[in-house]
This record gives sequence, C-alpha cells and structure tokens, in this order.
Amino acid sequence: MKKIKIVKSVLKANDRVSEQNRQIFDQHNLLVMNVIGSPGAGKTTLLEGLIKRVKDRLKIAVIEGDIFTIRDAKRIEACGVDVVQINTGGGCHLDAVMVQEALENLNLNKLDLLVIENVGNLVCPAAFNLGEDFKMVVMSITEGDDKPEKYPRIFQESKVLVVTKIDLLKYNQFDMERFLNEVKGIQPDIEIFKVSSIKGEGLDELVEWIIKQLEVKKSMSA
Amino acid sequence: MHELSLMQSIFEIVEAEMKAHGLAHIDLVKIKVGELTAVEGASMQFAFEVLKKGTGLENARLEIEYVPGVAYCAKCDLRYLMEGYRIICPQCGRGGRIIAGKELYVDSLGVDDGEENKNCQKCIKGQ
Repeated sequence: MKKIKIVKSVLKANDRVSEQNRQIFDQHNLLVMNVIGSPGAGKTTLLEGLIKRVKDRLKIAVIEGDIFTIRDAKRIEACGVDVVQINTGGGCHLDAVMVQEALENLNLNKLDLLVIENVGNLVCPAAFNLGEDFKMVVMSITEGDDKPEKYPRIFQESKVLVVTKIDLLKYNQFDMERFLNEVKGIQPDIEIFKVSSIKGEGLDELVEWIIKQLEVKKSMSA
Repeated sequence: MHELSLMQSIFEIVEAEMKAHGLAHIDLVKIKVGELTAVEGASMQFAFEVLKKGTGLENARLEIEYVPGVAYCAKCDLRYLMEGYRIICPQCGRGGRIIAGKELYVDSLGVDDGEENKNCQKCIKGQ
C-alpha cells in the first residue's frame, strides 16, 4: 500500500468562515451568543423573557435556526426585535456559512447583541463554531439530572449554562446537586444561572451577566 | 447526526487530494478522531459507505484512529489522561486545560500498488 500523507482538518472550511464572522462581529463591537439546547428545553421562551427585559437597554437582533418552520421567529418578532430566519431544511445544526449569509439581512452597526438560536439539538451544534463570543447551553430540569455526562461536549464548550423550568422542581425528581457536580467535573469554570422563564425567576441576574459581557468586550477593544 | 456532514467534508478533502495527485481511485482513507469530538465511529463508517458509491472511493475502506483526551494542570505541572470528558486534575481537583482529544482530520490516503500481493506470491512459492 502506497501512503499519501494529508493531515487536513475536517472542519477547516467551517472554521475559516467562523473566523471571518468573528472579525465582522469584533469590528462592530457586537456581542454574539450561540444558544444551544434540546428541542423543548425552553430556548425561545428564555429569549422572550430576556428580550423583554433588555431591549430598552441594548439593541438586539436574533438569528433563528430551525429545521423547517418559522414559528420561533414569529414569537421573537412579536417581542419587537429584528429576526432573521435560517431554515436548514433537515440539517441538525447551523454552520458558519449559514450565519454569514444571514448577516446580510442585518444592520450590524445598529446592534449591541446578536443572539443566534441554534437548531434544537444538544449534540451537533456543539461541533460547529459560528464565530460567536460564547456558547450558552440551555437545559431544562425536566430533561433529567444525568445529562451532562451523556452530552458532555456542549457543557465543555459553553461559557454559560442556563437551567430552565426551575418552577417545576417540586414536580420532578431532579437532583440539582448531582447535576451541578457533573457539570463542574466537565467544565469547572462555567457560569450557571437557574431560571424560570415563565415566572421570571433568575432572568434579571442573567441579563446583568450578559450586559457585563458586552461591557467587557467593548472595554477590551477600546 | 452531524457525522454525515463531516463525512461530506472528508470527501471534499479526499477528492481534492486525489485530483492533486492524479489518482482515479484510492483504497484507504485514514482519519484521526479525538475522543472529545463526540463523533461516533459507527455513524462515520455508515456515512462513508453511503457517500462512496459511484466515486473514486468506491472500493476504499475507512480507518479511524482515535486520539484519547489528555489534559494539563498548570498548578501540578501534570499531564493526565481524561476519564471521558472529566477535566478535573486527579492530584489537586481543579480543572485543567485540554491538550489532546479534539482532533478531527484526514490523516492519509492509501493506494494499493500490489506490493503486499507480490510478497504473498513469494510466500506461496516458498522464496
């Protein structure tokens, strides 16, 4: 067997475009968060709660990733912010090229915060960088406390974890201590917020954290 | 589920290399996969079998070499094998930094040039 050595990264094409996206975001002093979680984790409801609290303080736009529908985009639009829809048509994650194309429909000069709501999936979106400042993993307590070690990569890749639906804790056998121990074993530095998007609990703290991230980003480029 | 799109990227890389080397077909694709990439080997093999039909890779096999997760703790100056995705330093209990296990690349291609068969013939003839 004659061997031909190659050594080429499989994700190189995506990484190159994600780097271009990052440069665009940095030029515009724009904070970008890539929101990842299972279908039904409560990503869109969380965003509705965040947008209502923050839209008078920051200029926000949302890129909505969805396989087929525009349902989430309609809900976000109803909150009074610009939304660009990406339908992957079957694809289980967003990639950097899709996001770059979506940017053509946004006026980045007018924005402080761009939220990318990824396709509902805990696995594949973790592998594709989009050029974001950080990934936010959203997990609901109804999904079970055993998930971090079952889906470790997204916890390892994320800067912040939002545990949602905590108003349902009394109806579930969710062991918060076990869950947080597993998370910390995988990503000791992750920021953790416990939230009920419906009742509003924990949202103000998360809003302040996001605003702080934007301030840090702006101060570093100043 | 992202294995299919990863395999499509692998095919793009391999086909470009085949063109650059003037090869009409190949017999082996070797990839390296870090154990922290959440890439499923069986799904990769399946995607490879599906995509190779009608291409110059039709008779090729896919070989996957796994790279274990390794982390480094600066406080203890210790390199350690990660247990799954757990990044905690076994000595001090703090979080280390990943230094291996996130690889995902096409390592090499193989073309059968009949050398192995020739050797076999020698064996048969008792040379």
